[in-house]
Amino acid sequence: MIWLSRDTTKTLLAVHGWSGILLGLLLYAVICTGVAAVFATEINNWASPLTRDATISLPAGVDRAVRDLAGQVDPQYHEEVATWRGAGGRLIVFFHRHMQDPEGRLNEYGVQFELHPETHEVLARREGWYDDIAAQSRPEGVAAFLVDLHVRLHIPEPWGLLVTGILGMAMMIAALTGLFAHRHLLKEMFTLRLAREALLRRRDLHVVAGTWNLPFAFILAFTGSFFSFATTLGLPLVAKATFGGNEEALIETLYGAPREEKAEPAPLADLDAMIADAAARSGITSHFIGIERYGRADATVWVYQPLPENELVYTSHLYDGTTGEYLTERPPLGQHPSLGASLVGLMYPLHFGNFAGIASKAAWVGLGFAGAYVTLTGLLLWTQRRIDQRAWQRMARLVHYVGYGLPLALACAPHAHFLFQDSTLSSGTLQGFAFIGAAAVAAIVSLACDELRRLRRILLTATAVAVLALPFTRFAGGGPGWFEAWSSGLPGVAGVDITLLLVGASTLWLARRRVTATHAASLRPSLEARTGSA
Amino acid sequence: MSPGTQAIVAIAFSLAGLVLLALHDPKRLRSIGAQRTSPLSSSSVRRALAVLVVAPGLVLAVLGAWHPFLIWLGAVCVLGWLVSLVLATLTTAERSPRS
Repeated sequence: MIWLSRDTTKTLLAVHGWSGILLGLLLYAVICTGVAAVFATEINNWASPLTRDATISLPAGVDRAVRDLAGQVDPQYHEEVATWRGAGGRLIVFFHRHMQDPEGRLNEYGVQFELHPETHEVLARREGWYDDIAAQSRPEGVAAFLVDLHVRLHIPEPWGLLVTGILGMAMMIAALTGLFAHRHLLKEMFTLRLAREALLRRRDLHVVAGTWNLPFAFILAFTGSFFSFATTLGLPLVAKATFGGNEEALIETLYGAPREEKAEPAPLADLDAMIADAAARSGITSHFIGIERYGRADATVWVYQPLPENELVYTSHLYDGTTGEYLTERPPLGQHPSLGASLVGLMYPLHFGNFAGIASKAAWVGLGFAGAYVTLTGLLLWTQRRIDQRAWQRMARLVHYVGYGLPLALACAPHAHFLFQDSTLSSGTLQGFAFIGAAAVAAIVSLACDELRRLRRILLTATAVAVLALPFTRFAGGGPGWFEAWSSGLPGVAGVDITLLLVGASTLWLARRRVTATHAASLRPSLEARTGSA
Repeated sequence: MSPGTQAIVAIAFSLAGLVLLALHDPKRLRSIGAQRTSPLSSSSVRRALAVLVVAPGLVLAVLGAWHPFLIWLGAVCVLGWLVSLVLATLTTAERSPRS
């Protein structure tokens, strides 16, 4: 029990509630999309399956592929080459240079190839600014829509990142004030009085979920804010304070100065040998390669790997591009291992939960779902306490609309991706239309529906139908059936389909579940009869 | 033992402790109108059960098995909430006729 004076507790509760109610709806959107984004790789492999070897590890023969493609692009784009695995295991090779974009930002412009990882057949070639190329990439479309919504709410840079950073801070404030404002945190961690009156029931649902979720709510909010603010505020501020505004000097300090310039042509050393060497050093296969100054005597190759077993901080390996000689191992930040570098490195596994495959991702999805639940029940509790005021009745309706309408809009978006495969519009645009369309229909229903309990039921039922229909829409859009996927060595396709069917069925059960007599009785004499239940 | 197996074994031990803790939680029992508290509700037994919940994680941390440790920590936080929710739902369903 944490002892605080009554006035302090009241103040903390006010800060807790108002920080939540002012930003809670946007925060809820960020958390919901974050839950789905944990499985971004699996979602892409499901939406655009290609090969049985759909891992993130780079396949054999990268050296040959990069060499062949280098001859097909303007040498100005040899300034930097990045290689990684995309949706369905596709091999992505991006030749580019750094230039100022029309908005005046330093950006990447070049040519991106999408290859079959086994045959190296070119599946797609795109040229332009990196953001535009990414937006045009249809195989990555479904997950990219979710990730962009999570990272920046589809608001242009840098404002979107600033907004999500502020939302993360609001979540931290809510978690901390919740910790101190709740006097009986440990004593009540199993106490859920579902059969009591609506207000107490809602309070218990919020408090118990919040208590269990507290440590990770803080961790996820802190790391999320870090990622949002690092490039938008952190780097410019440090550059201004320490390097007189010279961001290049700051980047050189953090990542090392470029090697001595030698512009004469020189062939690149064997990339496959460097990948094999890095794997021998850390026991894990590489998933990303960056080549600086391809084809020159001062070429450098960066080899990145996923986290080795039981390591929480990743490192990268640096090679001389012309000789293939191993140069050094680099921490995530700076040129030498340090506490700061380790703390920055720790942010990645703690936020993304992708350090141990499906097991860690499943745990992080559970934590994210709990976070979304805490946010929604908190908003419902806050509005329920003030339901006798007209303005808060409207707010309660808005909370129901966003709380149950957002998952519906998110579930509707991928249908557009699958059904309009041949459209000239990008996947993101198509999904955006479907998202806004579903949100608009949900808004009309929310305004027309008298009773909030009924509104909740309608929106949840519609969400369940949209989720249950996704496997069929995927199939209708030309995706493989279960038998075809299984015989092609793609069991993940059926796995995601079955998960969606289970999620849809659970949502349907939740929507159709009848309330107990005690709970129903508790609703009747109160204003709850007008406003519905969570 | 693979990291996934280590995590599952640790989670299973902790889940057993969580269920026992929740079943004999004095405040929860009072809230559902139980006539008397269980012998397992004494504070010394509850402390022992709390140790049972936390111990697997400590073992993983001492062994430096950080991936299973983080999975265990995340799973215990989610399972603690789910155990509370399931017990409350079952208790409410037992005590109330359907409307």
